[in-house]
Amino acid sequence: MKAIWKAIITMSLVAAVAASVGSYAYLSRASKGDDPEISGGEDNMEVSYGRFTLKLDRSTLHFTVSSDSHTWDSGSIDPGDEAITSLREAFLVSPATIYSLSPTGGETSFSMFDTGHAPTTTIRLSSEPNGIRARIGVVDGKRAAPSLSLTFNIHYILNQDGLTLKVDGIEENPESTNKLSRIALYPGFGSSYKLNSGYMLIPDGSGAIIDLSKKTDAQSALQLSTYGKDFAVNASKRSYYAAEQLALPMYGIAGEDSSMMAMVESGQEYSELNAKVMGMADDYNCAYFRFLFRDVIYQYQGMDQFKTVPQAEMNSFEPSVHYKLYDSPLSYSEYASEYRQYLQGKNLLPKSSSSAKLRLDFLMADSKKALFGEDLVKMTSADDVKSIVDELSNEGNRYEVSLRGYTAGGLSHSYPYSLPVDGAIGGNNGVHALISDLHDKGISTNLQVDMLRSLEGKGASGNDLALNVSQKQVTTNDYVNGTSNEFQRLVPSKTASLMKEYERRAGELGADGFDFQSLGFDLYSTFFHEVNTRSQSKKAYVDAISSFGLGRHMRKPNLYMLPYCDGYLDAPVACSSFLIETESIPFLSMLLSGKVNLYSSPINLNYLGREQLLKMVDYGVCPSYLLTKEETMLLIDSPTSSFVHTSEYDLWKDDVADAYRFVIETLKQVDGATFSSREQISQNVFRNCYSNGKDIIVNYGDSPYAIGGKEVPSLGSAVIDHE
Amino acid sequence: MKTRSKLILFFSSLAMLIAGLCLAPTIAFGLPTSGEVLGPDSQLVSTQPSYVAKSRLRIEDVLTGGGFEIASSPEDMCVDHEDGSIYVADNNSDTKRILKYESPASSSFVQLDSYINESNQTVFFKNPTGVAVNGQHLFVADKLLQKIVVFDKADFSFVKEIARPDSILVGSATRFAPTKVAADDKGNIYAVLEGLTNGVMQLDGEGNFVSYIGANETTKSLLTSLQQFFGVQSEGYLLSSGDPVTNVALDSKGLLYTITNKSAAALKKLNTSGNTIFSTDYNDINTVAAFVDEDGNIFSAQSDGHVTIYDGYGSLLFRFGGRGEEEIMGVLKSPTAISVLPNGELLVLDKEARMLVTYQMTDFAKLVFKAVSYYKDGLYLEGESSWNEVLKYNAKFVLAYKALARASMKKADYNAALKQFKIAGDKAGYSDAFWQIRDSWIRANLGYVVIPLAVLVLAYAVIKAIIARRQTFLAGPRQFVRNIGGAPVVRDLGFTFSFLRHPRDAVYEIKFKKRVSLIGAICLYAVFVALQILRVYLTGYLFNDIGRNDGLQTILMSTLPLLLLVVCNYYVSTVRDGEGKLKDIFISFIYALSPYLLLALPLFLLSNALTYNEQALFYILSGLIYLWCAVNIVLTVMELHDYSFGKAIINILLTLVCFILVIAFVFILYVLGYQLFNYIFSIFKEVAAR
Repeated sequence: MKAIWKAIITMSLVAAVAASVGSYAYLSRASKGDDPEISGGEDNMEVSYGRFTLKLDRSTLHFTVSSDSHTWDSGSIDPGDEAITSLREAFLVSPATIYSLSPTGGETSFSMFDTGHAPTTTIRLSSEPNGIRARIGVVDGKRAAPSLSLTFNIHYILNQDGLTLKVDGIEENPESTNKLSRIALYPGFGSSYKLNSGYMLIPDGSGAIIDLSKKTDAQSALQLSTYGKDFAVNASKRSYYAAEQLALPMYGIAGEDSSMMAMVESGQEYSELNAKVMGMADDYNCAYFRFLFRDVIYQYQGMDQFKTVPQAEMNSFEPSVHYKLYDSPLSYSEYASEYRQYLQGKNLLPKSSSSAKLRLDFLMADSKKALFGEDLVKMTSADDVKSIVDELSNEGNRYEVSLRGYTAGGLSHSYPYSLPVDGAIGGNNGVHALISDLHDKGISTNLQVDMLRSLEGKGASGNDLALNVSQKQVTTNDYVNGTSNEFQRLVPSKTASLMKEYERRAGELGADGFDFQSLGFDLYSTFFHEVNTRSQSKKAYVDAISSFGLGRHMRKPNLYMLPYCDGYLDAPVACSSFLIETESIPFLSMLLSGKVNLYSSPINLNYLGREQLLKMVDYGVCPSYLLTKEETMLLIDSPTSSFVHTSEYDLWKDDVADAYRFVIETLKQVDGATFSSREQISQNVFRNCYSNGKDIIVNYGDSPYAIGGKEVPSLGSAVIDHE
Repeated sequence: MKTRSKLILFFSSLAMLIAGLCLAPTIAFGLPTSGEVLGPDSQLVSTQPSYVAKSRLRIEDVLTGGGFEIASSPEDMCVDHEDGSIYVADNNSDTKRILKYESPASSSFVQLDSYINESNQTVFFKNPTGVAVNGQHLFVADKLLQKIVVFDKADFSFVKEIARPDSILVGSATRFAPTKVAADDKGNIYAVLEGLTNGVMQLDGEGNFVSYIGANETTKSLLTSLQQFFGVQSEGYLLSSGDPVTNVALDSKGLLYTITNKSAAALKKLNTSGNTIFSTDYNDINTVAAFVDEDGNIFSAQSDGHVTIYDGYGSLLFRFGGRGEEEIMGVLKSPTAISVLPNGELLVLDKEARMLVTYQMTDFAKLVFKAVSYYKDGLYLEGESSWNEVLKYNAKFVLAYKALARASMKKADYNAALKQFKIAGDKAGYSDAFWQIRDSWIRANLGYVVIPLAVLVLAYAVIKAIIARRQTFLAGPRQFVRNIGGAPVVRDLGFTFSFLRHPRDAVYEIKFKKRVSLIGAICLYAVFVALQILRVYLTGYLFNDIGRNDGLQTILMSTLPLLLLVVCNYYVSTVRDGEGKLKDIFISFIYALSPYLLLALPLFLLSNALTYNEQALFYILSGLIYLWCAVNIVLTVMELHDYSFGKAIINILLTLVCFILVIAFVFILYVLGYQLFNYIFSIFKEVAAR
């Protein structure tokens, strides 16, 4: 026995010496002039790369990143702040705050250096290319047993433009009764104290600003799950006031003389953006990402009973956040430009080019319940579409036609197994002739499909339907214009397998592509007969869409779908209006300008007058209208009636023509150009600059505004040459 | 000034220092609040946004002497429509106070937390939960002080305290604990007292008791209803009382509106006698507050975050909101008061969010209000274009169809009115329009109807006479009819006429002579089912209160009870010495319904020619058919089982009891079966999951 112990101790010593030698050898190599330069004292380690120097405290893991003119701090307490509690202090200065779940699903958290909570923390540092690796061990110290014991690595890697923090090697002590739930990584990084002249940029909806110079009315921090919550694990009911889904996992913090932009590079689908300002728990303003390793799940117990338990297996991913650091305060236009470049470098931007078009979304048919079976309600035939477009073509041919409810049984029967065109609206030949005719006019036509969901009880069945963690069908109660409908979800493999069939079918009909309703927007895991994590679902969708050979329009696509997006549907022209947000900005428009057409949701269903059209000019968004030939009342008692309250073309044709003249005639002058900057030049007047040398002046005011020899009317716009 | 109020003025530097930027109203960028309106069949349907959140104003927390901030807890709010100032009753845990803001855009305020009363004593508010203004005064209802305190609204100077009135009519057990208050310019004060079931206490300007007004009716139990029907006094009913009123509002004419949270008629308009003029056509039991504007439009707030707006007749115009978990501009968490500012903007007090939220009207809402104002004044033709415009934005806006139908009636375009009334679900209006159409049709076509009718009668008489003289003339056709009539099934169906004339003899023939076949009876059951389906389609709109159910459901719901009654009757009669066999009962029961089988169809068709003026005819005929069937059933049971009249009645009642028991048994079986299935299913799932 003694011999064994001797052998172990000897091997350990040898290994330690070897590691030291290796580390020394690495340090020696680094000090010979190659990047990076790594050095260190007793208290900290230093790494230099490019224009940045990283200093990491060995005991607290507090770090600073310095450039020639600025130093970014990983989180520290203002010397004048005597009010902060130890709990909040620990949260802001700790490298990680760890959230755990009890066996009954109750969540607790502790920060690594919380003196009140007293977790046990061990740290081992080692060098690695361009950075440092910290091997951290933590034991939840406040609770006796049960507790959480965890080890993980944080990598601090310097880049040419900033710093990347990466977490890997997570090991949970199997004896722990609590399970790891989330990790918030350096929540204090980039934080500021009290009111100041900085702001935060949040990619919420069209984009939002949190002005740090104004005290907020909000009482709670902003929390946005990237790509929405996984409704196969979490709540299935979406709030009536569902905020815009976070499609871009990034944020920006601009200070008085510096800025940073944080982007999640790995683990996006498990990340959650948090932002708080002074007055919420403490007097600091900070934004950070939290990563979800385990969620609370509602385990079905039978008899309609559920109990909450932690998710059994940890989500398998390695979170990584890239912080781009700037020595000057960026405007949101500059943020858009920087992020655009970043996405371009990652090949994550759409590859088409924008060309302003008005989108005509035709509802062709739906079904309503009859005494026996259902009656088809024909709303617009292929011939009707043709005559309507003919009439509207007097204004020009910058239209994009989208057909919905064309399959047998109409819209509520639409189900993606096949796409048989209903004879009542013209059949295959009628639709084919329509599309050919529109082609001749230079107008493209898309068919709307929903490859992820179908109205409950409308055809989909068996193994094609996704099951949630409780072995129940994944359903969502989606609010469409204020009214909810119950939808079932498909498994990703079915969605992917249908893609080829779709392509073939579109080819038969001569369509230019599809308007995918939820393919780019919803992301959920599936369980039991087909098991997919969110990452796997994402991959399945991306693989399927990337090989699709026709036009791909998507409703509010998430970041991973942007490269395959040829048309952005339901583009937001505002943020979610969280109380913490102070201003809505066209960040998304600037990001995607010139790359893809942004189309609004049907504006006749949310009519807000002239100002609504002006906002579209301002944000570079093309209007959409939902139209039918027949009167809308015919839809009464059909599922579509829940969200269509007006659609009759004869009532809206003047508005459509007006929108064409007002929005399309303006936006076509900046076709393919980048929306490079936006400034307020007078009260209620904005100047939007485009890369083709044109500026669009937008006047929200009550009186005309004169600029460059032109008069911009009240609630009007004008295009001028850039000065 | 006889007394003085304790005024704490927070202006300029102090306000900036303490409230600072937190009170600065935020620039509007709220979400448009797309909501709902009342659509056809009284269903809520989606609509264009009616209001957009414009700004918010946080009710400032109280800064205590120790430097702590105590969260405000605003309970009530009112707007002085003379100058637009806003009064808020803040019942926070530290300094109970009334706040006065010049406008929702103003961060500065005046605070009143105490007053010096007639006895020169300084009195601090204890629980101010209600606040109201009239032309001169500000009224504060304080439940714990048990007083309504009146101030001069110009300078917050104390005017008087109103305590429990000294009147025998008040009731000795009535505690004067005012929670809400309203006052008109004539000096009438209406106090909502905590737990008071007598309605609202009306006081005169001096605080003297006038009356109780607007008490809610007691909810009647089935037993109570039966007792009342039979004229029996129910002690329990007399002792019980309706729900207490929880809030009040006044319109510009001084008419009172009561709000009773969690009530089946949550918002009611009362006349000066305290009787209900109307309760709103869409009832939301969560209603907590209401405001009535100069035009009589009613704005109400619900505790679940909704705002519901009605016209002056209680018809729903808009409804938007709904509780949101997230802090989003314009999303209400727990509204407690609502008002309209002089500029038409909507103001809602959100207690949980501690905010005043201002909403701006959209063009669509402006259009609807404009159209409603025409409608209210009876200017149907003048409002026609506005309503047509409303329908452009929402084709399912039922009120628009109502108004357009009235305009069509004025233009004597009754066909259009008929269609519009039908969409609007206005049967009385439909009846009027139909009467006009029928009247003009009869006047135009009377000659065309009477003359052919006379010709037909004459022709019938002539043909009859010819047939009488020349029997052989129609021998062929007669034989043909005889042949058809001789077919067994046709003969069985024709037996229904025998049942009409002599039901007991008919049953006797069924029982002993096997006069009709089983197939004939089954055919009649099929006719019965067909009539149930035809009833849906053929009954005139005015008398058709049947929804278009699923066809299979209609069939099952019409035949299963009948078949179950047959079976139940068989079992009951078996144990009570009945002679009838199951087959005979099966056949006889459907024949007993012969009046219905033969006369229902003509009645359905007749209903298409009737208006509400002749509705008595329809209902009397229907009643007679059902009565005839009931008599037939009794006679059938008597003859079939050889019962006396009394025994037959007992048999029928027992059959009904048996029928109910079977249904209850099937229901219990279903519930247990469902649970068993669930249990087995969960075990299966558990095994599969492992």
